[in-house]
Amino acid sequence: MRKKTQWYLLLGVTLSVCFIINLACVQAYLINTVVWWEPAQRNPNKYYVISQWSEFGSAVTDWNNKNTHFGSVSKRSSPDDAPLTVVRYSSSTDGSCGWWLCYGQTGALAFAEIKLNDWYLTHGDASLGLPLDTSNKRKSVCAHELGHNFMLHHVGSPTVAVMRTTGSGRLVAQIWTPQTDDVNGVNANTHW
Amino acid sequence: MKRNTFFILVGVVIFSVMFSYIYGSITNAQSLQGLEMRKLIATMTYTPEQVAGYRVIMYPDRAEYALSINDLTGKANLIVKGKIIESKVIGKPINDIQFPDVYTIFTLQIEETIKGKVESKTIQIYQPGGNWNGLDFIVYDDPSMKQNDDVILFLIEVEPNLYHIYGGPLGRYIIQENKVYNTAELDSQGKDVPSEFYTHGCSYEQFKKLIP
Repeated sequence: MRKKTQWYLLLGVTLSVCFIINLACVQAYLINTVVWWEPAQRNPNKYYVISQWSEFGSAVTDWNNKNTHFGSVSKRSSPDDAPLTVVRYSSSTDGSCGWWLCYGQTGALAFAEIKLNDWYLTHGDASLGLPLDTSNKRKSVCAHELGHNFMLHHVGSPTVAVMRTTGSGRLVAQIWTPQTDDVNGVNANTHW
Repeated sequence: MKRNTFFILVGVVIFSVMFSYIYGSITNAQSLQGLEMRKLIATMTYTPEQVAGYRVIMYPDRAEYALSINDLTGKANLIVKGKIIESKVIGKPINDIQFPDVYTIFTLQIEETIKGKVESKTIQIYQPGGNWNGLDFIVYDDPSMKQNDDVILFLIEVEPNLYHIYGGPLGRYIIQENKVYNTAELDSQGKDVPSEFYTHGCSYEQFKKLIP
């Protein structure tokens, strides 16, 4: 009877070890690969740079310093380890300083991209603070696009936020860092 | 009894290790799915089945804005009333990482020119996004125009005979049953348009009076 108990005990311990190994595999997947398949709504926090404005890194630091529930964003050297891509381009046709694009379905994003439009470095409506001829103006666009990456939408006037569009009165020369409303938004959206 | 228990134990261990390996492979495949799909989408080699239920959403940080219809009038090169008679989605891959450049070129048949001059009876309008091979590329605040839409557009010329709509949804009005509406009034996708641009279904004649 005693021996039988020992065997059952051994079986229990073995099964527990196997279960922990299994769990470790799952956690490794969640931590080291594309986290935002699961849990749903989680966004990419690793980015790969094809090309960028030098202010992009500074905008990342500003967001990271806000210590949102989303966590830190970090740069990767390989696109295979980075669901978010950052790139510069130039277009006089699309009417935007920058874009954030994502691919996915409701509740699950797969990958995303930030595009920074060089055309507005030297062009644009002065009444909106354009062109993007200073470091802070360019940083404002970078911080805004990163905000989308943290699941933030645009907000309207009179909210003081980097998530106002340049058009709706976010004068890029006046707001270039995440504001209280932006941080509150990220923390409200982030449930992990 | 001892030998049986030993074999059961060995069986359980083998099963658990195999389960760990298989489960790990499955989750790894799921994680790869995202990046593999990125390559298929970047190179535009996906099939409609592979992207069923998915979409690309594009958020613009617009560099164009106006405070009122009056202000919008001042910023547009050309204001026209007309009908969309044709559309063509263009898709251009850039590399195997980035989203491809997808946009739609609409042909507008001009019925009346409200501001500016245009030689041709038809002009081409550029709008980002469109449906390419079963995948919708959607601009968050700017629903795609449709063939046979009767529209009033506030335009900027970007190339000879090619225009884009100033401020996206801001500069785009639609006529339905002789009533004029801003796009945002009819489609909640036009979220970023302030109420100053709403026309509440006024007549076309009333709308023209808003344009100085």
